[in-house]
Amino acid sequence: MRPSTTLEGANLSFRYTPQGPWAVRDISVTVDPGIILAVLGPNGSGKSSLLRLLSGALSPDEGIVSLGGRPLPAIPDRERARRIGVVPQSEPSPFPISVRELVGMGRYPHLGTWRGLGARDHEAMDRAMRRCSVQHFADRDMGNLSGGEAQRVRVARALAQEPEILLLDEPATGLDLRHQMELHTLLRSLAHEGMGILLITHDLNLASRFADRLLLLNEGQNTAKGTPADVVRDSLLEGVYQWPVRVVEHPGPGPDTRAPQAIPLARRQGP
Amino acid sequence: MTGIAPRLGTLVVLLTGVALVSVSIGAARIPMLEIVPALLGQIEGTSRSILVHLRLPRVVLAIGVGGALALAGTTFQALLRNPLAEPYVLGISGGAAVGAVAVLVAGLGARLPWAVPLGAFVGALLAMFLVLRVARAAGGSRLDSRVLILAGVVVGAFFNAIILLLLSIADVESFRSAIFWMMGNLSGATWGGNLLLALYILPGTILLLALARPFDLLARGEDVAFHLGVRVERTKLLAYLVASLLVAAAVAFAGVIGFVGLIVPHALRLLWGPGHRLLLPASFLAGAAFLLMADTVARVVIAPAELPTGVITALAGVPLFVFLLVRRGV
Repeated sequence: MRPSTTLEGANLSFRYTPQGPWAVRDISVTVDPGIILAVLGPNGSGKSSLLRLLSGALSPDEGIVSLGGRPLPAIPDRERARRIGVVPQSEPSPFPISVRELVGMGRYPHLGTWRGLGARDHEAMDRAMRRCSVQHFADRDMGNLSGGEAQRVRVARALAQEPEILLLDEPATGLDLRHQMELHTLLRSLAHEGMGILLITHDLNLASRFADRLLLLNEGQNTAKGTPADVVRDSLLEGVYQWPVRVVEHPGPGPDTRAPQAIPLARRQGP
Repeated sequence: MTGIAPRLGTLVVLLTGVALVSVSIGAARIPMLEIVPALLGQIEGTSRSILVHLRLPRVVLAIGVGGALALAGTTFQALLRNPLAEPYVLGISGGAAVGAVAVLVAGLGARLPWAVPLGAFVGALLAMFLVLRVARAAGGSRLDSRVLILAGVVVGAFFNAIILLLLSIADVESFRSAIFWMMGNLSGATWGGNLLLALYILPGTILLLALARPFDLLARGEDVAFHLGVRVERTKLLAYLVASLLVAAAVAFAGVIGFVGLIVPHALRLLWGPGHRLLLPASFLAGAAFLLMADTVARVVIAPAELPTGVITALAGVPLFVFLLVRRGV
């Protein structure tokens, strides 16, 4: 196992226009090796902006992002891409491209300008495709895949980067029940191998079962942070989501028995 | 990716064949078997003179200009992520034309043969920096492709107005030369000019070929490219500057030859797919072969008079392109 590093954002603030509203306001977050951190919050609460700040795609107006103690902007682009893998929510796909070619893009930070994919690169691609169960359709065109299949291929591309840190923006959206569970199980085993994982999700219940820590955002601000038991609480969730919620324990059996699960109730009648 | 080398090999063979035919035919026919002996000095006289001073420089110019335009077109399509992008979309042709037309209208074209290419090149550089300044002023430190297109279109429109203004005060003779220059033709080919052109095209082509993988990743969006380690802003700026310089150099020596830079990249994409490690070098070779064919036709059909090459590229290129487009659609 390679030595793993911590990705840390300290007191991050960011807005898209100089006088506009804060998209992210004074958020501190740590992605530690071996840990899954789930970032939750309503639509527009700043989750994706936070991810892009941590990946370096956005530069914070205040605060600093560092990887293993080094400021992120000081790390060369290819080195950064060998250490931080990102699975975006969606991406343009203007041209036909095969699954294998897309996964091969994950090897870019490992290649020289004129050097093509070598044996070492193909091994990493095959390994990544096997872990995401996409190897049996490796030669199909991305345009002919279901949403869930395409999502798994993008995860495989990030794994082909062989990163220490993995950032995922709503990776389970559009996946059916089985593939959602498979993806989260995969993330758990990657974390067990030492990878640090940040996962943006809308699924409170899967986050509660699979994440070691939760971060709940609302309007760009940190509302709650801690273990699932600290964060998945009726009063807290009702305040953030503006909807009545009842928290129950996962009935089991399995490793997630007694994990807190939030069930949205019918809205109470007006006063 | 399989098949890059054989496909490029095919294009090299095609280009060589077209070059041999082009050298051979014209107002004076030079049999192909006499080309090499003539070059080696074993055959003296007018054949050798036509070959060395007229045909060969023109063939080399067509290869350089056609290759540069198609390569620049592919680059602008990748940079702007817009299928309508072509070498002149960002106003470079407008700037070059202002320079060239100003020289012609001032009556300097006939006395100073280098004045027209120089004027065109200076005008093209002016357009290139103006567009970059406008895009930077409007879009901030990042080079936004949509802002860049808008900047290119408005700067181009401004230059076109200046061209019309210059033409409106031109006398009949310079008016005619200006119009012919804007149609584009390769009759001004010289070894000296070709050498200058090569100083831009050789390093420029190598730089752009090195951007093949970053271009592939940029097609998936700037965020994805960034997360995979592409230096996005540096890549875009380099692509813009190098492709613009190639176009500026090509336009300086050949005028505004249209359609090569639009049609050749698209045709290759339809035939062989979008991967830039094949597409970029293939564009250069196919653009060179296509312009060389068009120029040969332009020289031959009403010999000893000539048609403007830029007209032939459109007349031949558009039907060919429509054929490829329709065939793929079925």
